Amino acid sequence: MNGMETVNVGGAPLRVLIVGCGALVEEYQGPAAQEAQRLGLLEVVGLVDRSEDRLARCGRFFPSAARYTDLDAACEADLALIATPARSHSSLALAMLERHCHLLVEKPMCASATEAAAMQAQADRCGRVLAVGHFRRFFPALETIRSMIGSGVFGPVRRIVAEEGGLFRWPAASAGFFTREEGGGGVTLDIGIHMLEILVSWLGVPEILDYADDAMGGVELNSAGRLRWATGAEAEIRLSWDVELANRYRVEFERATVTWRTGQATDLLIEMDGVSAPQLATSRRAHGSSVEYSLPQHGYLGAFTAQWKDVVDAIRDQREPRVTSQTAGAALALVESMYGRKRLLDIPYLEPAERLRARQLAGVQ
Amino acid sequence: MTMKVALLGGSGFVGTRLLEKWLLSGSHDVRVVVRSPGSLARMARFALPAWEQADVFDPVSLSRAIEGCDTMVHAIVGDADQIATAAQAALQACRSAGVRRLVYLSSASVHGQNPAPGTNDLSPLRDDQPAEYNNAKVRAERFLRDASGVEVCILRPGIVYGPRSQWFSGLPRALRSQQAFLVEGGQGICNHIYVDNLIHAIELGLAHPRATEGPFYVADDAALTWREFYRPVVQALGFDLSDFQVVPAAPPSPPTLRDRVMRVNRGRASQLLMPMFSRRLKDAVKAGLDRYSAAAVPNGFVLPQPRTPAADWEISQLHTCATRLPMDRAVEILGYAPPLGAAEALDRSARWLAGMWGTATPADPTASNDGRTATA
Repeated sequence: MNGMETVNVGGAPLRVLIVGCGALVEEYQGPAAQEAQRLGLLEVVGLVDRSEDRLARCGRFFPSAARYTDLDAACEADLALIATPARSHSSLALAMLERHCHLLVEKPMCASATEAAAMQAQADRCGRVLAVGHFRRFFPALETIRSMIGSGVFGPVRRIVAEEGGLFRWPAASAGFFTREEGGGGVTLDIGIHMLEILVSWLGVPEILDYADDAMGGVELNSAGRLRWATGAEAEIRLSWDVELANRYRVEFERATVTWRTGQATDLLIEMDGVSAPQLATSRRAHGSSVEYSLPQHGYLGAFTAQWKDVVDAIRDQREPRVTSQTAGAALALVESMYGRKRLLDIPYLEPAERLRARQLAGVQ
Repeated sequence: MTMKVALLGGSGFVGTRLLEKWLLSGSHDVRVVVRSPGSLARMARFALPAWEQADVFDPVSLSRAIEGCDTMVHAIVGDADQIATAAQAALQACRSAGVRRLVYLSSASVHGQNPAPGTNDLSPLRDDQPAEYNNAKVRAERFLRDASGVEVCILRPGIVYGPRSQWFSGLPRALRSQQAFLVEGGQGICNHIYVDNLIHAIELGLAHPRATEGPFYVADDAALTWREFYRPVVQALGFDLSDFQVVPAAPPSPPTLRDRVMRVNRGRASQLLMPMFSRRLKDAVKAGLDRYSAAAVPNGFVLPQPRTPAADWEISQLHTCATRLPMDRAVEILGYAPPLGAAEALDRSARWLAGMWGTATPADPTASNDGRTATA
């Protein structure tokens, strides 16, 4: 038994429409929705995609769901997951809000901060929940760090070093994913948006001190930046689709340093006064006055299921979801600002003539 | 002379730098052949070059993808089975598509990882070596050497290094986790070549009239010992050679059960059949193999210890290599002269890796920034 078994006490399962059946749905959101369905939280009633092949692949999770190649023909639903390429999120979200659907929109929530604001405004007008698919926010480890920051238990945050990178392995369905026009950006938008949303949820919106990437007429493969908050806290970020990086977030508080390794849902390392203490971020349940045990926690994949539960609960309880357009939109605005002030990342192995041409292509002469 | 070049392996380490050089210099009209769109990531820094999706092991599919090209550069990495299949497919595809010349990246390991003194380009090759990779490269070379209808240039680089190379990319993590090692102190000779020097050799291979007289071993101007080879990179990362653990050389070892199963799994038949099995079953088999292959715990009283790094036979042979391979033929026949010295090449590689791992400034200190000051 896990902590989510007894949640469905609030009524009939919500009817869910999944719009876009690409690799994300096939690999993560589909199985997670299947699990949420098993828990009685929701029922996937329809799948929408232009590709019959993709519909068939995702249909195996939901044999009774209707399949549509045209969104206009799709059945009514209480909640829609929008998991199409980001450029289409805004128009699809507005259309689904017109149909009185609550929304879970995959990251990045849309193509621009302006669109994000418009989406939220429309959701407010329609009285609908707009949640954004930053699934990592459902890692207990990250929630624990957020609590540490909020409580001030280790003093204020002084510095954060966040590094994420590895060779790109996502099964991108088309070359469009790698173009500025269709994909919107490279590693900063793809992985960095997660990182920035997490940082915003912890400390608020920072000022960008510096940003550099290696896009030379295309999208960035590597990037690095520096951020600063009004509290004086600073962050260094490094991202790569190219090579393996340290893959950790190191949060330096005044009295302790907490390290989270990316992808670890529950593990943290706390260093205090030179002593390292590995921590497991799990809930504990008390039985009577003397017996308690740690709940088995969901892991990486379970975060997707936890997100479905959060969105369903938010709709039923008429509250905000954990990940709102406020933090997601702020992260998107940060990416936009970074692209706007981009410098060419140092590529020290280039020949002088190559370096010159690289700057021309990057538009940063 | 600009030519239309089909590039196989454009997302790999050598292919990435090759493409970068050519896109920045405009020297060739390149068409990249990839197995899936996901392989375009590394080249997407630039406006995407011409590309085709094809099965590089299927001559018919590959032939369609390279139609209209003058030449092909074959820089694919793969396991032993894939090496032979890919070489055959490439040759057949070049023949049917009318591609005039194929530059094939073989490997100095055709002579083994620790060749006998006196070994050179014309030394006889054996395909019964302990390392299947070596045997596969030998067989691929034989097939290409005996082929007709396509000009074939075979290059034999040794340890290819530079940005993104396997020799350096894993080093920061290995050093931080105290898993970096040198077999017997790394006093053996490293027959290395910087990736840009290899690209220079590839360009000679594409154009030189006598390039088909290979194979040609190509290398840097110097051959350092392994410890000297690693020194600049290690220091740039804030470590020292003393942070390497010295481990003993290992004998050849037979393939494990896991190796054998994974090899079968990579076969074409397996790739067709695998989707029929549930993920749960596949995960269970994988977990079972991992458990079976893991070292047995002697008993419950044994205390957990950090993993001790251990070399396999191939690395042991490399780190204790006693022979510097000669590149006389490449120099004499092709006029090969490595454009970059090893010291400068290692320095560039080191600065790149240190920048990626935050031990150096991430931004180009020489780049102007519309009046903004570099702050990182």
